[in-house]
Amino acid sequence: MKKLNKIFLRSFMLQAVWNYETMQTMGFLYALYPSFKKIYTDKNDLKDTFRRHMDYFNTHPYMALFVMGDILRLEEEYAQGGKTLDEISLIKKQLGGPLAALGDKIFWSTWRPLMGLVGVIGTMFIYKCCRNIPLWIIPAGFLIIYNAPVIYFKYRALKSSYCARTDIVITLKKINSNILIKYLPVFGLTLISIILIMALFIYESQGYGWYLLGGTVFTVIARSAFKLSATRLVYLITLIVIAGNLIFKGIGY
Amino acid sequence: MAALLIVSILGAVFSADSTAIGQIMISRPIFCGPVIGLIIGDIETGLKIGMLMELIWITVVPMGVSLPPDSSVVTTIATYLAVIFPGNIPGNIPGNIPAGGQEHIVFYLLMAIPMGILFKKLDILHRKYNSYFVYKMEQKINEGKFGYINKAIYSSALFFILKGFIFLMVIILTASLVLPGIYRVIPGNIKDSMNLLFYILPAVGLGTAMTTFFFKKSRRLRNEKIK
Repeated sequence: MKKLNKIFLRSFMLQAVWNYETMQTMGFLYALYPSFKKIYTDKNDLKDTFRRHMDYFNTHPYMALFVMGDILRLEEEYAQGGKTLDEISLIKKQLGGPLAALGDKIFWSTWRPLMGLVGVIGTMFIYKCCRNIPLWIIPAGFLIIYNAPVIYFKYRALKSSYCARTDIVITLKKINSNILIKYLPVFGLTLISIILIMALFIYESQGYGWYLLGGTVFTVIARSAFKLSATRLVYLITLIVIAGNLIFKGIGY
Repeated sequence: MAALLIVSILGAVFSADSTAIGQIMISRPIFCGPVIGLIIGDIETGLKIGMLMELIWITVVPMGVSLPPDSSVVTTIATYLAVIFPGNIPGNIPGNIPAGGQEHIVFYLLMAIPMGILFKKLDILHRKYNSYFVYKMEQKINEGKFGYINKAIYSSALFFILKGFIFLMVIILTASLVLPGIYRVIPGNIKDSMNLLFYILPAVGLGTAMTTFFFKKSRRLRNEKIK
């Protein structure tokens, strides 16, 4: 599937001209431009297609592959006289929102933090157990572990939505997002506990373990009770530690 | 100077990844910290900063149309400064207590975090001016020149990288003139507490991640104003 490969490669630039008027539309058109050129050989048809697609479009950058495959299939059917224009614009408008919500939930607020935590665990493991492993393995490993499932998912999304004979909703059902959303946070909590335990072992020699535990409890309380953002918490804790140190030990000159 | 140039270009490419090009997560601190560190010769400091930054902003995500503060810019600036101007340089004020060795990392990180928020404001401005390409595209469609779409995408991507490059150059140059001097006159006990902070700050990330995963209140996260 040469045209699908082309769309896949071009989809990485989806947000390059992100703007507050049409959002991802330009990137979307950029990805589909070579295929459109093949479908509509007449220049006026191509002009109409571009005009139709110039309204706003926004979704999760990974999930956009679903919409791209679907729109490509519909446009091909339309060019042969199968679908109506209303159907195409309706699907593009209706799919964006729900897909964005799903993508934000799965990728941005679960998969990405999880892989960050895995990277941190890897770093701590190297520091604690095997110092002779080269450190560049952490960034390289992070990139591979994060991207392998994501790229597989993106390509499958494009292919399945293009080849689907039925509604895209049925394709979406196959992802089984409920299980992902339900169990990935549990996995995340496990990783956090592992980090805490490892950190306590590493800090043992310096006697900082209780500080870390106290800080974690303080953060949880401050987050859930006062809804403080992470950046404010960083500076708040900095102030508390510096003030406490100054009060108990003096300025230290 | 050559190091500064290379770091700025790399940092610009990394920061463009988070919003504009790719989203293959080379903009995450755990990746770009060690890479920047590797280039200027100290991968360990880069990894430490990347780890801290990854944990601190672990739940800050680009939900919907909102933009998060840019963690790759923070990591790049902090790593460069911490490697080039390390802690116990000769010429410290006599009587300064030498602390645990991590204090310069925390100092430069705390100074660099506001730059990530500033960069986010620049990004919003950039996205506003991107509307120009849409107007231009509408004109070109009427003229029948569809190839303009490629040109628009490539030039906007180039602008993203250029913006990051200039921003990083200016900030790092100014910071390397001002911050090492300030760092030198910080009293020993504050340096000591900064060293302690290196071990406490991961708690912020662990706590935030815990609240997100455990209480599952993602709606609150979405409405949260990141400042």
